[in-house]
Amino acid sequence: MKYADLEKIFQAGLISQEQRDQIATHFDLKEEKSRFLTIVSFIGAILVAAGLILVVASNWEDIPRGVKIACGIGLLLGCHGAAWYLREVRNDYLKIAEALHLAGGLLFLGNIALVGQIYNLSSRPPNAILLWWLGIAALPWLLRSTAMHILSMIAFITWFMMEINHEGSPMYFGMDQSQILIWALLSSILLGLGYWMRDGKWSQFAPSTTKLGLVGFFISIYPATWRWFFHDIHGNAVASAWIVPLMGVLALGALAAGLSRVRELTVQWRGTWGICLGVALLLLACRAYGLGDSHVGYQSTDTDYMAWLCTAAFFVLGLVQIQVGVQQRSAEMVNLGVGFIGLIILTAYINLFGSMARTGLVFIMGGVFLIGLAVYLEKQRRALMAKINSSKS
Amino acid sequence: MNAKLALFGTILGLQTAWILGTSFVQERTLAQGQVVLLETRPVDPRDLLRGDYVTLGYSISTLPLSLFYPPLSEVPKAGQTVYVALEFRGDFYEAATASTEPIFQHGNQEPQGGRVVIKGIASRSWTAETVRVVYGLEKYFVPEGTGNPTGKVTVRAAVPKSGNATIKEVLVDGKPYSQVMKDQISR
Repeated sequence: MKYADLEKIFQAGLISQEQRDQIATHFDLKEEKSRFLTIVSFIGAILVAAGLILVVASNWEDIPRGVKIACGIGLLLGCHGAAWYLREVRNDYLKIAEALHLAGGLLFLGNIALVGQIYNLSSRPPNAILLWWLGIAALPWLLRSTAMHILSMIAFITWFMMEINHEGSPMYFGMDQSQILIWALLSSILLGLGYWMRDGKWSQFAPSTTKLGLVGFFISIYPATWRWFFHDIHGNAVASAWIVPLMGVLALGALAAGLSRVRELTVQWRGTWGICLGVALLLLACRAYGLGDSHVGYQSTDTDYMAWLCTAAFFVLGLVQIQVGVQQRSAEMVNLGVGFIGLIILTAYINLFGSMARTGLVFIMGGVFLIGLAVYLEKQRRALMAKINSSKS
Repeated sequence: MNAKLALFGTILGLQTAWILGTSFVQERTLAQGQVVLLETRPVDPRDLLRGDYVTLGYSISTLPLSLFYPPLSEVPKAGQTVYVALEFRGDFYEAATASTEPIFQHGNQEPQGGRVVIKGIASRSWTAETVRVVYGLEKYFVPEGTGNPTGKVTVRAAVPKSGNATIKEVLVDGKPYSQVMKDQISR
């Protein structure tokens, strides 16, 4: 039996999702993937959608407005209709169907842009992205499409980013680099949701949500290791008072709820991982709100000890993540942890020796150090991968 | 399957309804809204074009605080709705009075005779004496490479009763923008 046959039995409603997964595990059935077809389909979908958006966005001076709008709607409905036919009626070319749904999701944004262009609508750009997100938010859950889920998350994050930077918004947070705290909290919410979705009917969305949350989290906390950190010390910037507390509560709640479902970790390790994430958020909050700033003024602040404290703490966080990744047998987590540690060490090196960069000797030393570090980290990573693979087999 | 199809159809229906609904509202504004001719001011003389649209600034985009009734002690916060009554003076419609509350004649819920009320949003002001207002008329999308007109740019905007104005036509020295740009490019 092939996995595709099993999938057809599941689609026909003869077995439950749990039974499907059990059968697949028992017979070690894996979804047959034509990587080439998948990649080509997705690139094709993105190119088609981007091309259409560009064509639509360009000016068709001689085409009546009604025709432009009808073309936009036709393409939108055509993509989704074709995808529905392939997926639900023929139950074939599932990847192409997913790519067509993805193109349909992008085309809704294209249609919003088209209407905005035709009628020269220019007020409040975040609303357009919010509308896009609201328009496609239900599709991943209805279609059980991971690609649509990723698109929906990207739409939401884009809206959120625009909204907190839009002056006059109740969520406006004009505190420059301090925004990284909000990004870290949003990433923590995604990470917690990803963990939480592992059990239950939406488990297929868990990996992508977790990965996005984790990558976002590390990108957000990383700037706290910089010696030079810009923020508004005068307190002139307008910033929403409720956004950080609300997101803090949501992030801690999501992480607590999500981690309780990571059953391959022991309670102690779940606790350790959760505490490490919480401490990282706390340090980031201290950095974002200027704890320990020695200089006053809207300029770089030399807060050496906070930068070093963050560097040390995030180094430990990276180590804990690698250990968690080994226990979860997750190559992605280990790779991300190793990469993050490498970045932290590189930053520490720049912080430490940056002021001596005028001398050629420092470059030579730095080059040798970095090559040695890269070789060491790669060796460690390969050893961990071998360990994970052997434990899997 | 049927329920799933119904939900899927509902989502696509809502998406389509927004596209058609917005188009309908804008078309109605263009057809039925009162047309006002507005004078523009270059926002940045060195770079009028951003991407493939022209940035338009208006003489009514910056209002003195003294124009507001009831009087305001400080400039409205960014994001606050501002109502501006336009009055035809000379060649253009200009701001006669402004308010953070809807401007209506007492009793009959209609603007005062001859005036057109346009709705805008206050943005951050650079001085304590003036209020910057955006009306959603600040971008005019143009064909690529035609965003640098030479001449006086004016705008005919359609203003419905709701006050949410839409650009009906952009004129350069009194002629339609596209025609002027075609002439300029062909020269």
